[in-house]
Amino acid sequence: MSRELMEKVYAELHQDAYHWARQCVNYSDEQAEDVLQTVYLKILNGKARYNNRSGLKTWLYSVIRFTAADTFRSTRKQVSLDAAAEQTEEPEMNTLDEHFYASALKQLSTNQSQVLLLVFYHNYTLEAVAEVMGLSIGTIRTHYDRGKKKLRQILEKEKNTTYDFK
Amino acid sequence: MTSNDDPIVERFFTQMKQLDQEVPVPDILARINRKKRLRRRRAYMSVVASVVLLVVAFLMLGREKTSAQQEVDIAVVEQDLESMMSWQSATGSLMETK
Repeated sequence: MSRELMEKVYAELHQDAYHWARQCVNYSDEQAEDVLQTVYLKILNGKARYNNRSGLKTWLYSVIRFTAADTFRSTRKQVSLDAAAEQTEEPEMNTLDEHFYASALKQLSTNQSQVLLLVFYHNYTLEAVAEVMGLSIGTIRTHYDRGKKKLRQILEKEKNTTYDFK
Repeated sequence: MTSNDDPIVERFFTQMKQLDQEVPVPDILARINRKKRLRRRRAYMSVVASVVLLVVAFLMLGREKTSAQQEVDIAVVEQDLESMMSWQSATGSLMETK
């Protein structure tokens, strides 16, 4: 059962799942791989069970989000404050463009950036976002509105640079 | 329902998505299998190492036993030799008095 589920997840959702994992761990390739590996092991061991209450992708994204949060919490406990500051200051970016996108989203709160990513990047409805994040639809709507407003302000500030979003 | 109301934000995410398409997606299942194989090999190596250690310890114990046995044998010969010598000297002195 868990093996069949894993095969389905891997065949249909692996690429999207990897991008979502990266977004949840501040674009660190290494941490994203660790998170996704933990998620897949949870599925294979039967610790994460899909109960058909939501869509498969919604369920998987939710598991990834919670696993990433756990990983983040445990690494923060292990690493000293100085090292943690260094880590957050220099995330592993592949290109300058990627650094720009990540730093723009970093100016939002985690919830705001995740709501916007799920809506605009992963094409989720606000109801599905509420399921992924385990929050009420009202809270999600607030994060969505505030996040969008703040991001627009950030992008308008940047419009005179090489990144023209108008 | 949600995303068509802000072209600036929407464009930002569209461009981000395009950029992400260049990011290579790792084969996580291969990574899991590789780690499993590594763990299995490590377990096998530790079993082999403990068996070798056990054999070496057993051999060394046997060797110690033989050398201890040899020491006992030498002591017995020495004792025999001593008693023979004393017996010889006793008979020698008896012959002289005769």
